Order: sequence, then structure tokens, then C-alpha cells
Amino acid sequence: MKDAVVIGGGPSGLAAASELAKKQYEIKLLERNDELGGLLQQCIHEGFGTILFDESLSGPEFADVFIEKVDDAGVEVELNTYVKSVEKKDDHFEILTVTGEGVQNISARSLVYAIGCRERNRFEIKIGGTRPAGVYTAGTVQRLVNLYGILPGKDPIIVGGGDVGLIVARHLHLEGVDSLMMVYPEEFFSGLPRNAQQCILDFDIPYKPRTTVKRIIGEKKVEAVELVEVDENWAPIEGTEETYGCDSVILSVGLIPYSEKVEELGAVIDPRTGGPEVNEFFETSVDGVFSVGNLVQIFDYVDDAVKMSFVAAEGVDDYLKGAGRKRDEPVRLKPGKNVRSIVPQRIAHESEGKIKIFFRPGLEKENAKVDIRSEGRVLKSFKKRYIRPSTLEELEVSRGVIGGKKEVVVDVR
Amino acid sequence: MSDDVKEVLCVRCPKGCRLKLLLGEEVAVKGHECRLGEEYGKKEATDPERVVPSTVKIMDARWPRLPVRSERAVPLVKVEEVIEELRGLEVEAPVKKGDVIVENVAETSVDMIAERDMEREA
Amino acid sequence: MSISRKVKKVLDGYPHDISYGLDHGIVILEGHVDSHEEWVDIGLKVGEVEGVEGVVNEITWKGREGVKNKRKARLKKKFEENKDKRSTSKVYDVVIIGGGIIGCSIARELSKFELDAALLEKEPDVSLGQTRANNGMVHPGLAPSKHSLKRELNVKGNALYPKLCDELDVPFKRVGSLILITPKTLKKYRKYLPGGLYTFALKYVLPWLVKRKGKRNGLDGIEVLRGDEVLKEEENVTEEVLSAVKIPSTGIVDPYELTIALYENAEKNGVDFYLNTEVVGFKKQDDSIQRVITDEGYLSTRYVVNAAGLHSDEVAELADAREFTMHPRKGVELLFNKRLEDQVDHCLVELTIPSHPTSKGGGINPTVHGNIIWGPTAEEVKSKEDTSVDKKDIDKIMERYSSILPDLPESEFIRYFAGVRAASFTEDFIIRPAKGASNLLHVAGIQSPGVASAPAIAEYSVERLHEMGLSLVKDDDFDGSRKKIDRAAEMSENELKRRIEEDERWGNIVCTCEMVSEAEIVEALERGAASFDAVKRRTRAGMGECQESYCLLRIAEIVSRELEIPLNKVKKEWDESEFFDGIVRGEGL
Repeated sequence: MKDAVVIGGGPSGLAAASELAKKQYEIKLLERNDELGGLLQQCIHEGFGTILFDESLSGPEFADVFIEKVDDAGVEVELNTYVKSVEKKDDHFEILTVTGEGVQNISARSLVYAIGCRERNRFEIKIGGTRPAGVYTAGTVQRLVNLYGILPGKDPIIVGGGDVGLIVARHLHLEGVDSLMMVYPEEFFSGLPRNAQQCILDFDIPYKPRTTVKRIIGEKKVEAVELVEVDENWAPIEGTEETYGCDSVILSVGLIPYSEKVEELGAVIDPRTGGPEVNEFFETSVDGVFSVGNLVQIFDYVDDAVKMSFVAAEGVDDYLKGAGRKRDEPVRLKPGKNVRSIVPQRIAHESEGKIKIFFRPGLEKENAKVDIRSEGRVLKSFKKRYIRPSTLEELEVSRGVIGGKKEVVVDVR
Repeated sequence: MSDDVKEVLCVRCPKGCRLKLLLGEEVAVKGHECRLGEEYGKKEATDPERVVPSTVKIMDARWPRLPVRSERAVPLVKVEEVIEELRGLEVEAPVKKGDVIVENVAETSVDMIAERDMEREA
Repeated sequence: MSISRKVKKVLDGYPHDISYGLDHGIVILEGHVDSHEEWVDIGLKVGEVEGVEGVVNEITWKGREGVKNKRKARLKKKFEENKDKRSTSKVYDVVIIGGGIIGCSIARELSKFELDAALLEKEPDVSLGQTRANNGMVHPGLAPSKHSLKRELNVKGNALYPKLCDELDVPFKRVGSLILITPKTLKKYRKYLPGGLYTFALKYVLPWLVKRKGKRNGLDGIEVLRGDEVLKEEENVTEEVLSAVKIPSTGIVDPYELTIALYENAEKNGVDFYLNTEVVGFKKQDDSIQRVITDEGYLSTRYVVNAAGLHSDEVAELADAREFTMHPRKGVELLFNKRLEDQVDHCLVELTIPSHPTSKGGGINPTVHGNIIWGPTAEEVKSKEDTSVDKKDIDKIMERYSSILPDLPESEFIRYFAGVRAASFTEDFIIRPAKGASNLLHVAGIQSPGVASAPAIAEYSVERLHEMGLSLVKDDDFDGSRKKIDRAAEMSENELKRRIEEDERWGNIVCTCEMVSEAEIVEALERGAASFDAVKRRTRAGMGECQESYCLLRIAEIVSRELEIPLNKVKKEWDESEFFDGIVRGEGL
């Protein structure tokens, strides 16, 4: 019987596993790929670790820090492992895995899901037209270019101005495509200014704001796309269609948490984040099942995700010890005015200490005021220099502020 | 003269102010809204630098490519030259994180280093 | 009134100069109209005339002529290059043109006899035409009119399914269908049916009429359900439903899985398959075809079967046996996530009278793999290759079907696709010896319910060939059994354990949405899959929720390794659809 099984060997899973193993628990880490590090192994640009280490590392370098920690802490790691099913028993979980060595049953007192997210595809955003070769998600292209040294095409178009799209644009430009174009529906790049400047503007890569791909053209291979301008609600403006010749389409149009597996276990899913609802220790609505990283919500910085894995590790520790008294009724945290989503969705414990609340703003605003309120009364206010929907915001609150309340709402004004 | 004006995005906070840099003996920054922006603008005007990430071909390893980067930032104008110098380069596994792959790349006095270990595989 | 006069009367209704010829029941139309819509409309109206056996619609509209001439010039060139180039010394008894579900069914049927048969397919795999985009419903035979060939072969074909799928190890489920009658069913006639009469008609008269039609068409076991009885059978259906007619014989199958199985089994029993081989012409002596000329050389044969689907009119024309024109009719389908598997048990159709203009025959179906499929639409299109899907098509399907299953989350669809039906203007199946070539059998105009009818069409076609003089001697060596590629996802824990002990690749799960192992992908490649999509169709890898966003490179890597081609040369489907183009900085791999 393991004390905890961590599913997923990306940064969040690695951090949770190493932290728990340091506390002398017996931990097993399961990873479906043949190496640890998750997506970071294909993110070869630097910029990771600035919050945690005050140093800018590349993806593989950042991953390596935690791979070493996992090694040092004595976590049992199983690579190439597919988790076929997980069953909840009275006081533990039964995990059925499939590997090249066989089919294995693992028992664990608790579970940490760190299985991340997947990329939204062309069908989910209803891009019309044909279904030829040459349409890829940005993550696939990043992997293709950085791990295999292959380009998706000679004249790609990138759809979406978020960070992944921006980073991929720079790689493609530097690594030898003939021409490149980026379109996105926002008024300006939704990725970090740093990436907009250093990936697109530095190299004068052409881009079109308020534009999206309406149709893909080409029977066997992408030959062109039909672009269309969109309004501020991203609705296509009829009559603005134009054909743009290209040989590949790269989609950077959002990430979706892999929440199906935890949902099957009975965890409540928050439609706003797409991930499981969690409490302040990242425990889902199923006792003993924790979830961390991009499965909970899409983090902008891996540093933040990893920090939250540390918090989750504390929660697992409490759970395993039977410590940490839970409230009879959790405090519900709800997104209010101009807030799209909020994590955690509930505060379940009585303990002392501060709580980190993440929220995604519903609008772009300078000098915004963020209120935490309950039953019409403002409990605490924060000033934020600059907020926008594509950037996740963080608040730190002492428990005392919201203790005893039934429901707490976060507003932005 | 328009040649003496450069536009950049400030990268110091999510707001991303659009800075106008008036180049000359004394650099003037416009469009910034805080001290950080001015500082950043001055640096960008006189001496913009970037860390360069790329990959090189690696033999006998799990992956066909090894990720590499410049150990420190190099002048922005040198970025494409750095990449050019990597063309056709081949290394052999095993490689350790931090190994120098190219010394003094494009005469920037910065080395290109391996971003990760790569074991030798048959 | 003679056929000729009736045709004239139809044409008089249009403000255009259209000439027509009539030869042995075949009407040939020529002239020029303003629009494609008119072209379709005239063809269909003439096709409805009693006694008309085929409509060759040579009427032009803006833009049509050029396309045709270009195609003809290309074929002519290929013909000249290949007409004297023998591709095999064999003289075939039968050459089948077209590797869809029909061609492959006929191929397997012929493989039961002692004769040499070949199948020619212009695409790199079987089932790439309309077969691929079918929703997999094995219709019961209710819709066709009583005296049509469609009805006869549909009812018969449906009955042949369990045995066929058992022999070929292909999943088939007789889920039954519910024809739902709701307040929308007779909306158009509401004003003629005041008060309680409307509900009475919907609850009692209409189901009875449907049942009676079913009985007349030869269907057994039809039941009428009312009110709560419907919800008991299908709990997620709209509570507005007033009654339903339950037809137990409706089934579901995966059409390309079945076609691949037919192909594998026919090949095992001696049929030669020529993929990537396009027919470019024929060499005839008198009115008999001697050679089929392809872009790879010619084949000598005694009989030819035209099962070229959408292109059967072009094949007919190459053989001087023009008897019909196909009018491509596109159908768009929406596929939903497997996690909704429990939501639908039967094939569901909402009856509307008159039938819905752009979705006749469409409905909500479960699939044998646990998905739910909505559609198809029915839209006349100009191009046979137009399988594009636009947002408006998706919205149309959503609007049409979401009222039937109000609780199904619309956001759970994972893919959309389209196929183009091979519809003829006479609408019924055309299975008969060609009038212009004595040894050519047309098997054309096979659209819905083509999948359900396929096994019977195969038998019927072979009977026709026999009548045309083909001698049939049972082949005692025929082995009708075929095994599918085993699936890790369907194995018990112990079975999978045992497999992994034999071969560790069973334990390497490459596609995590559908739980497809490396061993399955390798076997698909060993069975002849030559592209990424061919692997997908044979293993379901990449067909799950993420639609390849995780496994594309992982599958492509295996294809590259097994076929010994560089990763950047792996094809999606065709030679012209290589996935990737270029290497970083132009370096070598």
C-alpha cells in the first residue's frame, strides 16, 4: 500500500511527489511517457523559474530541478504507464495500470492527479472547410520542431495569439520556414507582452488582430485558409473574408483540463475552469483525491503551479495523518462581477494560515479594485496595477477574514 | 526623423505599455507609465539583448534533437547569426546539462549550452 | 401518354431550351439552365416519370462544362499512355471497379466461386468514398416504397447482417429504431386538425399508418409505443414525444470497418486488389469490353462490374454505356464523445411530414464504438469532392436534433465530417446489365440504405452476372472467416497480461483516449495500412476526444519506424498529403 500515488510526471506531479516523499511517505509516481518533465521537455525557451528561483531557466532545465528532487527523495517512478482504471474502496484506492511489463494493481491511501490538459482542436472551435493534412495544434508543432527537428510546413499560419502560439512562431521563424503569419481574435496579443515583443515584434513577423480562420481549403493538403475579421465578441463580420495561401495551420486556441478521469471517480467539475473543484489544499470533492497543476486550472506560470503542488502536499500530509479538522460546512468561493473563474472553489479546513486564491479576470483594466465580500459586506480589498483575462491573478487572504462565512464572492471593479 | 524612433512593448508587467524610444545621444522614453518602463526602455534603446533557444542534431540519443540555449543573453542583432552558426552541427550522446556545445557563439563571447542530459541509446 | 410526351410535359415547365432523347428508357437531357438547383430539379422531375430507367443530365449551368472537359483530357492522356501496357498476364473473369462497401461486398461474394476476380480502386485504401462518411445505420427497410429494388435489397440485406458480421468478426448491434412522433411531426397540417384531433392523429393514426407501411414492406415485430412507453425505451428523449413506432430489426455497424473486413477476406480468398489504380477507359469489341485500361496498365476481363459510386456515371461514359448521371448530395454528420454512450440506446428519427428538406433520413444514432452520431444533412452540391463542413452546417444539425434529446450537452461533440452520396435522378438502385456494353453490370445509384443493402446487393449482383453468362462453381476452399485486430481496450485484465507477456508492445498504450496499443498499430501496418488515416480506421487510434492532439506524433513515429520511411514522409492518406514539410534549418534528419 502506497501512501500516495501521483498520476502525471509533469512539473506539478514531480513537485507534489518529491514534497511528499520528503515527508517520509511512500510515494509512487506514474507517467505515461518514457521520460519525466511533461510539456516542459518541449518548451526549450527560457523564462521558467523566475518566481521560484529568481533565475530564468529553460523548460528542460526547470524540469530537471524537480526530476532530481524526485530522485533524491526516493519516489518510485514508473514510466510508460497507462492508468486504465481507478477504483475507490472503503479506505484506499485501487489503481490498475498497463505497461510493457504487464498489468499491475496498485493500492494507495490517497491520490494526486497531475495529468494536466490537452489542446483545443479545430473541431472544438468549429473551423469549417476540409480536413486535409497540415492542421496541427501548437503543442504538437512545438514537439515536432524541438524534439524531432521537423517543420510542419513552409508557409504556416498560426491561429491564436496566446503564449504557446507566440513561442512557436519564434521557433518557426528562426528554424527556417519561408513565411509565417499569425492571426488572433483579440485586439492585441493575449500572451505576455514579453512573448509578444520577443517572439513576434523582434522579428517583424506579420500578424492580424481581430481575425480568425473561417475555413480550411485544400483537399489532400492545406492549400489556403479563408480568413475573416471578427468583432469585439469574436463574431465573424460577413463580407470581410479573404483567402490566404499557406501549407499548414497551427492552432493555439486554448487548453482543456483532462478532467474526465477524476470525474469518473465522482469529483465535481467546475464548468468555469473545466477542472475539478478543489478546496484550499487542492483536494477534490472526493476525499483523498487531490488534483494539481493545469488539471485544476490553466496556470500562466509553471512556478505558480508548482507552488500550489507544495500546498497540495501539505493537504495530503494532513489527510494521511488524519489531521486538519474540516469544517462541517465549507465556505463556498464564488466568482462575482468581472471574474470568470476562481480557485479554490471552497475552503474546507479550520486550520490557521493564509489562503491563496487565484482568479481569472473577466475584463482588462488598469488600477482595478478587487473585493472579497460576503452577504453584501466587503471583507477585504486589493488594488491590482493591471489585469486582463489572459492573465491569472492571485490573492492572499488570512483565514480569519473569511472564516465563519457560508459563501464568499470575489468582484472586480 | 523617423529612423530615430523605435517602438517596443514593455515586458516588465502584464500591461505591456507601448514604448516609443527616441534615440539619440540621450535616449528618451515615451509611453511608459512607471519607473520600470523607463528603465526597460532605455536598455532596449541602447543595448537590447535576448537569450537564444534552439536545438542541434544529436546522434544515438532518445530524441533526434538536443535543446541548447545561449548561456546568457546576446545582442538582439546577433540572434539570427547565432542560429546560423548552429546549422549543420552534430553532437553525439551522451550529453550533460550545461555542456558547452558552441564556444563564443557568433563572437558574442557567450557559449551555447545543452539544456538537458541526453543518455546514449543504441 | 408515352414516356416521351410525359418528359416533354415536365420540361415545358421550365423557361429554358432543353432537348431530350429517349433510348430504351434512358432519357438524355441537353441544354443550358441558370443554376445548379435547376439542373438538379429538372433531373429529379424527369427521373420521376414512370418508365424512365435512367436520366443522363447533360444540361450545363455556369461553370460546369470546363470541369468536365479538363477531366476528360486528363483521362484521355492516361488512356493513350496505358492502353497497350499489360499490367498482368491474368485474364480475369470479373473486374470490379470501386472499393467501397458495395465493390468489396461483391468481391467477397465472388470469392466464394471458382473464378478470377480483381477489384480496382483509385484511392490508396478501400472505403474512402461515401462509405467512410456513413453513419453506420443498418436500416430496416421501412422508407423505400414497396415495389422498389431498394426495399427488396434493404430488407434482405438487413437480415444477412448478423451472419456476415459474425463471419468477419465485425461488431454489429441490432439496437432497433424508434420513429418518434412529436407535436412537430404534422406542424404543417396543424390548421386542418383542430383541437384534440391533432393529438389523436399523432398518437393513434400516424403510428398505425407507419406500422402498416412497415408490415407491407415485409418488416416483423413492429410495435407502437405511446407516451411513457416511449420514455421507458429511451429515457432521454424529449418529454413532448406523443408516440413512437419501434422497429426491432434496425442495426448499427461501422461501415469502413466492415468494408476493410470484406476486403481482407476477399483478398484471402483470391481476389486481386489493385489500390491507387484508376480506370481511364475501356477497349471494346463490338459491344463487349475486352480490356479495362487503368493508369497502371490494362487488365483483360470477361465481365466488368461498375461499382464506382459517385463516379459510376463517369465509368459508364468511358464504356459508352451512359445511362445515368450522379447528382452529388452531401451529408454532414456530428460525432459526440463516448462518455455520452449511455444516453442513447436506439436509432432515433423524428418523423416530420412532409420530410425535412435538408435532412431527410437523418437522425440520432448510437455507434458500435459507443459514440453518438447526429445527421446526416442532405444538400445538393456541385462537386463530387465537396466534403467540406461549415459552421452553418453544424448549427443546422444542432438546431434540428437538440430538441429530440434536450439534455445532451451540445459542447460534447468531438468531430464533424461529410460524405457525398451517389444519388441518381431515378433515386432507386440501378443494378442491371448496361445497355451499351453487354458484359458490363452497373451497380450504381447506391445511396441510403446502401450499407444495409450491401450484402443483398452483392448476392443480387452475382446473380445478374450469372444471368449474363458468368458460370458459377462453388469454391470448396472458400474460407469466409476473418479475425479483426484484437483491441487492448476490450481485453480482460488476464487476457491483456498474457498478451503483454508474449509481446510487450501490447502494454505500450499509444492513444490514451481510445486505449490503443502499439501492438495494434503495428498489426494494422502489417495488414497493409499505408498511411496514418489507414491506421486510424483499423485501430481507432486518434479517434477519441482529443482528436490526435496527444497521439499524432506518437502514431506517426510508429508508422515511420515500421514502414521504414522518415517521419516527415509519413502520409495522412494520399501521396500528396504528407504530414510535414521541411527540416529545421534545412538540415538532414
